[in-house]
Amino acid sequence: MTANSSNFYQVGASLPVNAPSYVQRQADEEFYQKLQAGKFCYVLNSRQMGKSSLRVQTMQRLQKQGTVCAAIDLTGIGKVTEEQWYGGIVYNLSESCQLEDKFNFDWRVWWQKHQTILSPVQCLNQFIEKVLLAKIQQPIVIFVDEIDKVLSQDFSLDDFFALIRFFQNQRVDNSIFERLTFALLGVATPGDLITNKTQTPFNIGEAIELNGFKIDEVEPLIKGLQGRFNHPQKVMAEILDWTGGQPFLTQKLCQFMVSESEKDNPRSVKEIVKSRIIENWESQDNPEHLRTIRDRVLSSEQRAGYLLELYQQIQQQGEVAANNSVESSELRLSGLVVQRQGKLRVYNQVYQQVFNQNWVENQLNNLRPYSEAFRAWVASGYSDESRLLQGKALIDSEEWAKDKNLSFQDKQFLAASKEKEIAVRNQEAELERERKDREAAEKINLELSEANRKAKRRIRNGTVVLILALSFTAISSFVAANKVREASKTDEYLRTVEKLANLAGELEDEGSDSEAKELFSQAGQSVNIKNHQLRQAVLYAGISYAHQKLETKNLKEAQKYLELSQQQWKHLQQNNSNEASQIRVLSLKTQGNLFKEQEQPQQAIAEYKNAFEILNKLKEKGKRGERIAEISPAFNPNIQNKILSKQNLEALHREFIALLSKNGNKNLKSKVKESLTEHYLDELNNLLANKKWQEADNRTTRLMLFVANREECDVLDHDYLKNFSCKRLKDIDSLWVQHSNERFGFSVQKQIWKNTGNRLGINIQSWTEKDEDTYRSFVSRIGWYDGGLGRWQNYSDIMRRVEKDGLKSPVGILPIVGMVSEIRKKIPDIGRAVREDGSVVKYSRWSWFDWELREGQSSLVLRLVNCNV
Amino acid sequence: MQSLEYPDGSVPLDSSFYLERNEVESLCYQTLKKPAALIRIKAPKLMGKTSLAKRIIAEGIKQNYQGMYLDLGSVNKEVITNLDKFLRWLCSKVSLELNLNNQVDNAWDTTLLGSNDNCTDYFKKYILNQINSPLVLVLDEVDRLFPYSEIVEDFFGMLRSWHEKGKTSDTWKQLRLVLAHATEIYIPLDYHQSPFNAGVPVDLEEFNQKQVKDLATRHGINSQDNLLKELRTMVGGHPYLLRLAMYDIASEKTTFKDLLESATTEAGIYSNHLRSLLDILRSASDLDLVQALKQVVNSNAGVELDSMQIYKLHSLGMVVRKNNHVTPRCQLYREYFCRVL
Repeated sequence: MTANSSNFYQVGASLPVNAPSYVQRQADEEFYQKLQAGKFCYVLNSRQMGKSSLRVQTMQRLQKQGTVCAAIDLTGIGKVTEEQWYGGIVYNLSESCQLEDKFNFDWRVWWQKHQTILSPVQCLNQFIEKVLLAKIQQPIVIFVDEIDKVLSQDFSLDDFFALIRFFQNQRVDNSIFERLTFALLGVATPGDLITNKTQTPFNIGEAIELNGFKIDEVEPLIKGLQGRFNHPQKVMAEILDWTGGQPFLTQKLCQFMVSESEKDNPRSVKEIVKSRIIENWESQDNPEHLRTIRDRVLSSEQRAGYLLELYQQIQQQGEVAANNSVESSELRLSGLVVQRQGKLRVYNQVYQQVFNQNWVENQLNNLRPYSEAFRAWVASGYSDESRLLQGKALIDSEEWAKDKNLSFQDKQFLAASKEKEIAVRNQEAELERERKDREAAEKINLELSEANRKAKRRIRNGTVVLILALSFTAISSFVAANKVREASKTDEYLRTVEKLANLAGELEDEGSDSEAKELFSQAGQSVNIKNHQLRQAVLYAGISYAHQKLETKNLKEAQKYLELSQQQWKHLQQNNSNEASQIRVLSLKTQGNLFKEQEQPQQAIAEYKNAFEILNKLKEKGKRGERIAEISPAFNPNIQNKILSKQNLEALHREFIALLSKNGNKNLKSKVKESLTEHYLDELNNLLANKKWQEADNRTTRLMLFVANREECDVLDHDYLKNFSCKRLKDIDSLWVQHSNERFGFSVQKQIWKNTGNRLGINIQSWTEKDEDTYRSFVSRIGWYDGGLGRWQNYSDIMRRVEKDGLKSPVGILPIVGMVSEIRKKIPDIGRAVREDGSVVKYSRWSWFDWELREGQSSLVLRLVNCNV
Repeated sequence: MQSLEYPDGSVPLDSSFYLERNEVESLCYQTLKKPAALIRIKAPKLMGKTSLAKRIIAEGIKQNYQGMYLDLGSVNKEVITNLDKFLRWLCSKVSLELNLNNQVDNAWDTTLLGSNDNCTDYFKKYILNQINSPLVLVLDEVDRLFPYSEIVEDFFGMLRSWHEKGKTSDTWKQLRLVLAHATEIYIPLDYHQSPFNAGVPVDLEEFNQKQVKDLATRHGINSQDNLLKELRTMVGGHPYLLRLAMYDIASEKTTFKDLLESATTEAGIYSNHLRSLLDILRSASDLDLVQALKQVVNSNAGVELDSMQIYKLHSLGMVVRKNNHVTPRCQLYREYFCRVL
């Protein structure tokens, strides 16, 4: 008998029950037997392997044995709501089991009744238990085909799978469930279908493996070739040799051979495979088969590279040990490879030739030119910067990426590469700039130090000249009355001043700047003292102090001059005048330091303590900014004869504190510290009143470091700011606000910080893009950042501006207290990040220092708020 | 010889100017008689898809089947953009055409079922179960639906599931589905969950030399005339263009010579046809389509185009394609579009 070529074989779609070309395989028996035994089965396999045909055949066999079979094809349901989906299942079950025809059961009425009180999945549960199993007394197998369609719904169908497992588990308690079995068919892995491992039915079910046709199974196919070929078996064997028994290709090739047999000079199987399947396969592939495999392998750009590389290995090595990787199961699910005896192989020769070495290479080329670097980068957790592209590779990749729809990670990778490239370029430019700056700076330094030496000499001489000039004025007024006596006194004074100035100069040369400064000021100050003995006392004390501090420490000389000094003001011992008290303080300080140098700390402390107590008495209530405070004598405008300079007082405090740190009691030490703080506040007040903005900012910074005990570190980090003294914060702020007509000050900045929408006290881990945006508007508003140019202003820029514009500078620009750094100008605004949705955002690349500043600012404002400033 | 017939729309069933192609018709008729048959006709415009589809229905009716022709090209956009509306429209339309009661409003309940299941249930209960005979359902110009992602996947998925039901269900064995379309399916659709990877595919080819001669003879034109060869060079085996020329010659409105000389001009017999193609081209949403065609007609070799542009030009019947290379469909098109673009 000769089969009709147009209907014997079937290419594509499932075969009808009575199809003559249906091939019984091992899986047929297995599937049938297991379902017959009531076992939950699933056939999860690649496309066009004959799943649905297997279902159709198995249903028929089971039905013959009295089993009721229901079939649900999920393709038909479409995209629906959860209620509609479960409704659709019940509808399909009712139809399949002919409940309406046989039992006059109207599922719609039943469903409507139950729908209102039960969840959809509970409804299905009830329907199966109370209706299906009650009305039908035979075993029931429910086939669900195209099960992977559950993935295209908007809701999770985990409950559905859990229900299948539930029925299975119920068998122990309720024997009616022994009559109920499910069979699922589709193109997916169990893991794709259900995420919850505890609810999955797949681990208690039976996987049915669907293999290609084997030579001893294909008797039905050979029938179609009979009468057309002399050796149909041989033709069949050749066909299987090409198709590996893949059902779709085998049917297709059989059909081709049949039509070929009707020609005058029929070609061989090999020739047919070449000309009708492999050559120009993309246009000949109808119904679609090879294109489906191709699309499945390439569908995800992200995964395609991995799949192709695994496939390439398999192709080159012939076989590769199978593992449980996603790639190997994806590749098997595409149908391209098959697993046999733990090895992955290319399914058949047709695929081998269609998806050949060239094809793989072309696809890999199409994929990404940077796959290796990319994967290594991903594997490093996106941190291995050495994997990023540079130079030509980057340019090529960007060119390649132009018309591609890239994955998120790819975009990240390219963006990161670009970012790094720009950073490197900027860094190089920066290094170049730095080198030039450094050279320039070195040159300037050289000139400066020369100038400095000269300048120092001039200052020293200048002091002397100044003193002389002043003294001669004084002398000329005295000459008439008591020429000789006064002249000799003046002469003595001038010689003493010169001696002190020279010693101070020596100290300066030795690098003891603050001591030198103190002594220069002491010398200068003495001019204001009218009483000869008193001014001599001040100068002698200075000379004594110099001998204590010089490297060639001469304590004998120091002792001598201190005694000389004391002799000069002996007559004032009982005097409580302001002048006397001041000289007493100076003397005690000098004595104290001498004791210290003589390593007699307790005596030293006693002297300092004495000095400190007298100093406290010297303080007078007065206005500091808007508030009334105990004003340090160095800044008290009411004291005309200032003997103690601000340097004297600062030194007094610091020396005393140093002593107390080693030997003294804490209580006293903190009192001294408070006193020094007050002194500094006076100084700040003075600077602000005189509009010395930069010095005031400098003073503020140092004051804050002092208050927070952070002078050695020179950094106020956010932890310290968070706990900064409220009282001192208020003191500082009120001075700034008052002297700037409310233009400068922390409280002014705080208000702007809040107005620009910034958060308080955030640390950098929680710093978001929004925080960065608001921070940028804050710093733009107060003039630290040029929003237009996208550029940080550095400290000297800002100070130049304030010196120029004074109180017309931006509101809130001061104080800066280290919140703007010279470092900032070196930080290019080049960072780019790619969001999930693919859009690109800019951020600046911060150094740790920048983070510190941001955190610091945020903490400072938090503290201001908490302190109610 | 029968009286002449101006080629306008599908060729009437009794027309002697309908040429049967090599076994295409017999394959279709044979397939039609199989349970749950599915026939897919694919060819560009004016190739005779509708004429073939109507003949398939006629063949069905001969077998005492019910027949139903639905042109999706004429459905309102409003209907096409909503799955539920579209399926209701389909069920109503089929009920009315088959003189069945329209039960759509009673039967449809989306609180219970999705639109697809409603439609499936309706077809089964109120259509297939009512007519007691196979139903030949022709859906012409299904490519009209391709751009509407709202309905495409679900609708075609449903058609596939109907076809699959026919493997086991007696009711669904009665449905004989014929789909006709001009374009490739360019939408991202799982072929395996659509009818496009099942059933019997039918491609309509151009007429070959023998068929052209046959057609000439039917028009009373000397099939040995050398000018006939020239006509073939001009319009290829294009069924519509051939018939248009043969009609004018046979009715002595023009001569072969004049016709050929003026063919590509505004005065020629193809001017309406050419102008309408030009209009379609110019009103296409893809502005580059004109450029693409220009490239094709100006090149002697095949041109490589974007696949979407290939689909569009091919479905208009303007180009032929070999792999990804495209050439003008015929000399007439090359000359005309060379001139006007």
